[in-house]
Amino acid sequence: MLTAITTNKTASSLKIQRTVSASVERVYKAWTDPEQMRRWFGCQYVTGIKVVQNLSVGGQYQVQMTTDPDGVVITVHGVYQEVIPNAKLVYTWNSDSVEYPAADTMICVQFIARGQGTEIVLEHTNFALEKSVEGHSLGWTASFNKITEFVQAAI
Amino acid sequence: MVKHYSEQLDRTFFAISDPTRRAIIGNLAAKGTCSVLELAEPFKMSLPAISKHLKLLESANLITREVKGRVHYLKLRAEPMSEANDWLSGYSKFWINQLDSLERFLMEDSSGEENADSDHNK
Repeated sequence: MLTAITTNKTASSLKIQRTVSASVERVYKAWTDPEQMRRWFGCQYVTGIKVVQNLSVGGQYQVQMTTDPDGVVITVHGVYQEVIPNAKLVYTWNSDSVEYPAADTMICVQFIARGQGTEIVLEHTNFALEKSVEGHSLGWTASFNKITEFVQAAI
Repeated sequence: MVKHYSEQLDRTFFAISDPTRRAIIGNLAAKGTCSVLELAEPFKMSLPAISKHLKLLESANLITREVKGRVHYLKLRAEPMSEANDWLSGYSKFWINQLDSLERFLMEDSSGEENADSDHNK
């Protein structure tokens, strides 16, 4: 099985890469098709997943999960900013989960063919607010590395 | 919108979403304590404009201010930034779990491979 995970994080965003043994078309469909999403989304600790999916630029999605066994309902929702079938998705991500909270964060996920498999490259950025205003031009400068060093030194 | 998580985290991420404020934080991280004038120096901005950024950073608890006579000295606070790092660690775990789950689904449902282009998999 082709499995490689790397997690890079700075104080601003995280990037996770994983290669799975399935075609790009198959992975993209699993990622976006409501019927298939219901079968893997939210890991094994949730039951009763409801998916609302409008897979187009400006379209909204919503995933509602009931946690097992305490029955808490968690809602994840957002708006698609970029939809390139079998290649790339960019969308906002909001979550009212206590464990994994998020408000107006940004997800970019790419599906890249690697032989018989697919590399999934997922980036999660903590803020979309000014990012969208500035036209996605947030380049993290060298100054940010200093912040990360500072934080690491301070912990 | 109701925010079910730490307001501090929200303020931290908002504060660091601006390039000028990130640069100010970077300079403070590199130099330690700085006066307002020292912090304003690298920017082509008026002092009031810099002051506004500093006030926002202050209200987000990212910096502290100490007044000595007429000079205001600023210093970085580490705690909110490490909270932001904790958020990222949590989400790394979340996404790794999600990808594990997706991968399990893809393996179990290998019949989907030939049906990938159809609208419904059975």
